[in-house]
Amino acid sequence: MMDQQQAEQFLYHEVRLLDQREYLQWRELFGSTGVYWVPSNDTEADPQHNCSIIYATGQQLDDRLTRAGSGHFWADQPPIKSVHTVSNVSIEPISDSQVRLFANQVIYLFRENDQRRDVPLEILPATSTYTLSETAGNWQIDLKKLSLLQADGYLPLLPAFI
Amino acid sequence: MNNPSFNGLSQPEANHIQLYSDPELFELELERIFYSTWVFIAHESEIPEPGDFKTTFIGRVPVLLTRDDDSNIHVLLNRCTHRGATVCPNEQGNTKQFVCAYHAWTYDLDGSLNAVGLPSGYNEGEVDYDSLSLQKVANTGVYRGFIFATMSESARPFDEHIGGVKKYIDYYCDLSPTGEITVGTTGIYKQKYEGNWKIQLEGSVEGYHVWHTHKNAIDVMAREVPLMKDYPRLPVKAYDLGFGHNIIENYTLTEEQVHQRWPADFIDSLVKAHGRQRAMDALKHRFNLVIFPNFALLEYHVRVIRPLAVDRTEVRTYHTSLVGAPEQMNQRRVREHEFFYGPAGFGGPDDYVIFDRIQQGYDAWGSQWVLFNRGYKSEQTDADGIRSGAHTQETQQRAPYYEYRQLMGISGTENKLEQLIPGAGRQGSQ
Repeated sequence: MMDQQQAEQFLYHEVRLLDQREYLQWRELFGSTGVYWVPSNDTEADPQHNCSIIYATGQQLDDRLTRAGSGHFWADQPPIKSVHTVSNVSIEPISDSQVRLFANQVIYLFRENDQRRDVPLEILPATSTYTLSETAGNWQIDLKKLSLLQADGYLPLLPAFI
Repeated sequence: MNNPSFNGLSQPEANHIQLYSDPELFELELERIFYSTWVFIAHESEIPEPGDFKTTFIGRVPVLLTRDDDSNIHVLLNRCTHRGATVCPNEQGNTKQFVCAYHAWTYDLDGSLNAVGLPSGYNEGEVDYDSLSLQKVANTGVYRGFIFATMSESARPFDEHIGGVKKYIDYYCDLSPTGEITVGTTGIYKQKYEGNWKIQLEGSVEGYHVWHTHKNAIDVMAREVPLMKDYPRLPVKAYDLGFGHNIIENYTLTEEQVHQRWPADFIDSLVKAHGRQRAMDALKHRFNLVIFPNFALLEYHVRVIRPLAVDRTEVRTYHTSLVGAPEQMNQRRVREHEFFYGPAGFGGPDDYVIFDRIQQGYDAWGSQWVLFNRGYKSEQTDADGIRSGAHTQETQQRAPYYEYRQLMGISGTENKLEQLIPGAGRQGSQ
């Protein structure tokens, strides 16, 4: 099982990897079957029948990783920096080796050093749900669902992983 | 009609940067294009049931689209005829009537006024219900569920207006065994960019940038569709279909490639439903179609362009699904669409950041022309007057401006590029 402090530490670590752009390490948290889901429009809609902002697993996560480091990701030039804050963390046990975490997030995005010089700071509040599994003391992500408050509104251009 | 200060700004091979950056010209575009010609409103599948409604815009005008109890469709101005508040605040929904939040003026689904608040305060003859319906647009036209409207009585007949593009809409819809598609019910990406609306109009049929801007996406797509690797060298073309409409073919599959690309049961279901010829037409042709001025139809979506200001545009990407197709086909359409489009897709975001940069570049007034001369000298014109060129040339992007210059009343448009930019064209073709 995971206690409150472990849950918080896991989430802090996960989003810090994003903010530091340690994407390879971050991607490893998902293993070969973990799903990274950012729904669009109705955040409760079935992702098999409705378009998401991101719905990726396995090869699709690897493709995003490749894109992030490719030099052809024009929407990320100059790079979009991020800061995540995580709060309201709660734990719902599923089994001895599986838990569900709920947390609120506020994601700040900023593209500095742009010729325009006045690129706005983007603020993306979100709720998030994680399903985690433990094997040999290691917690992996089975599902990360990030439901942006603006899922049905205008969104700024996003980095490879948010 | 002629406005002398704008003469000469749009030429066959180039547009002046003022065309994309002058707020006064933008106002004239609203009047002479968006309030004069046919504008795409919505697809019937967005309001399938009686009482369904959707709000949208024609240019800046808030519009209310409804389906009444007899299933008739109405395109109304979303403005109470009393003091002018919008009578419906939601993007979509279902209702029996629209009640204005201010004084409870109440309108039926067809726009007719059936009640006002505190009616006894009106004397005889002070409120004429019959003349106070929600205003209707001047005209509406529907083809295979695509609803267009015009604010002008003098727009050309709808059938004539879309005659040249019907064939492609047929190809698109016939990919469904029932011939029906849904638009937007499986997802809508809502985006804005800091640039002129015509950049997206041109960008919806942009064959030249694909291999470079979308290298990330092509690398992934080529695993499924190997011919994408050779995109610039594919033997496909782009066409000016008249009235500003245009098309770029992305790829045209052989029958053998059709069988590689699509599951056999799906192909069979189309052949059974439509006959072999129609089914193969639908399966073989992949294209981006632009219907001037605000509509584009792409492999998995309908794109709607809304001008907000001379340097600000909204683009909505309505995902399309095939009614009656095998579930796995539609699931694949979801995955492949979201792969490329949306704010975190592998393709769309790169276009929008470039559109922003194009608008920034217009401020560099020392260089005044936006070029569309690629393939101008080799452009073909067939017996019906249809212009065509290779897909990575710019026939399709020159196309809207023949209609544009006409509607805007811009003359002085016969200059060759060499006259606009001394020395241009001297270095021969490449």
